[in-house]
Amino acid sequence: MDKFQSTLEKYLLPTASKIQSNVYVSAVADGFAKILPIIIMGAIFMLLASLQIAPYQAFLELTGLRTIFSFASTVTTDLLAIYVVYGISWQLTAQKGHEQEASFVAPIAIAMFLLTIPGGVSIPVPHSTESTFYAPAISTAFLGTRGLFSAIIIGVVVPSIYLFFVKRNIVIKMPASVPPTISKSFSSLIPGFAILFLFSLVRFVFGLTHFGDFNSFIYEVISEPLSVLGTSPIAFLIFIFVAQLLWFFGIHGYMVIRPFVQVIFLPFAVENLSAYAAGEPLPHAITFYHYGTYVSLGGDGALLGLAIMMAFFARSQRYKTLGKLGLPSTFCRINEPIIFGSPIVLNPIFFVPFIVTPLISFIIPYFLQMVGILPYLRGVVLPLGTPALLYGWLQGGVPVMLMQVVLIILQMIIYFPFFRMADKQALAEESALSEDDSVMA
Amino acid sequence: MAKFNIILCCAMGMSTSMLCNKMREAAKYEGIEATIEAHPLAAVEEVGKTADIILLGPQVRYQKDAVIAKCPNKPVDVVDMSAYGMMDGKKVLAQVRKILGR
Repeated sequence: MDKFQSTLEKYLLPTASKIQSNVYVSAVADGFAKILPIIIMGAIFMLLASLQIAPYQAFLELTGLRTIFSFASTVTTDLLAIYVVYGISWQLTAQKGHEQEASFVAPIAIAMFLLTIPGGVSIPVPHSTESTFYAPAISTAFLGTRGLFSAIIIGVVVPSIYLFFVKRNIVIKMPASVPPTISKSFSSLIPGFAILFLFSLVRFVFGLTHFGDFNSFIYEVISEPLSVLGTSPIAFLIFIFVAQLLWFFGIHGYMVIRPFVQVIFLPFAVENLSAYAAGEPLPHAITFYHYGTYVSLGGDGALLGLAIMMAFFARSQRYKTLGKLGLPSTFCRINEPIIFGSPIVLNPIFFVPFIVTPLISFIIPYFLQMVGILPYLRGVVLPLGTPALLYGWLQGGVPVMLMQVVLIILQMIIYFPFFRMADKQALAEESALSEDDSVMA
Repeated sequence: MAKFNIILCCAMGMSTSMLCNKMREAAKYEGIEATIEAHPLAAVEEVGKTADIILLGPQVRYQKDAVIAKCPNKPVDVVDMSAYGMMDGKKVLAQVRKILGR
């Protein structure tokens, strides 16, 4: 076991570190994190407008609040791709060590994203098969989740080209007496021109293809195949397994897989939420929020049940103390005290339940969804630290909340034998210690 | 005695903020003047500038080299796992004092 562990640690640690410190991966992850507040704001307003509680709905109707709540989503979640371009391009510029340039690069990146969208929209003529072309408009089709992949690509490409010029000093230089802000904005001109020309060319070239435009091309070539991956529970299970394995070695596994899970499954969440707000059936069975609702109920490793047992049923002083210390935060998905205090990390006793419980916590709700007992998740974008049960209720009402209760009980059942083993061991150590003390006395 | 300026970093700055409170209590008890703050790892370059020492949660210990690269000339260390788990502010404070030698 020791040899197995040391070999795994030898390869796992550097690999995780490599993925996580890859500047592009971390720029995408942190770029998402940067814009999450605006998405959360939009999502909460959408939820406020659509919670299906009859008296509440009547109240909304009466006060006109429904209309007031409905504005937010049109400029937040519906424009997700624009914010993603901003977040990633800003973050990548900063992480490549040019934070002062970020405020010039980000607007250029947004402009390039908008440039790839052909102007004008076709509006169907009522009562006929024809449509009229309305020129002074931009189609919003790719400004939301559908444009997410183009947004990521442009958010990465624009800063890369920009910094290519800056690093080789191909910029307009101003005399030293010119204030730095002004000279910076001039120095952004040459790379800006190059980027603008390149993306104009991109728009022109894709206009000649049967795809029609850059975004349609990316959507058909990347997003659609990837979304097939996203509909398969296997992909999600693999992500969970990798995260758990890393966590067992004390590495924040969720941090490592999050960029990938987010890119694939967050758009599904936003699309579910839009459908929910519109009163339509939810399109996606698996969303990013399956992680927070089911898999990571009580933090990574699904430790809420274990924390409850420690707090209330532990016989050893050690686990009693740890349970009381860790339970409140574990309820809000922050479980580092339990993970490191038990410890679960590198502790063979907890290896099996730590890997298996999160997997089961995904499989059971997924199965119940498939047979129609459990509703799909609404995909409400929630801040970190939202407590369990409330989390479930917001994501899918009472049925999902009850599912969470069942999963907590299941967590207790799975963890129980292993918890008893660890508790007994701790108790034996404690009594050995106190015997030592009495001998000393 | 000079004031301690300690920065704690983890993934989101959530669990370190719990430890942060415990360390403040410990510092107060020991009569040490200290500024102790928890931040997400993404902000380490910015917040690390004024720090005397940067401590990482054990779950992000694999990022130690990256943090050292971002914050050269700063002592960077990883909080002991069991001290982290038990949120033992006193022990972590002792770890800091040992490294800083004061």
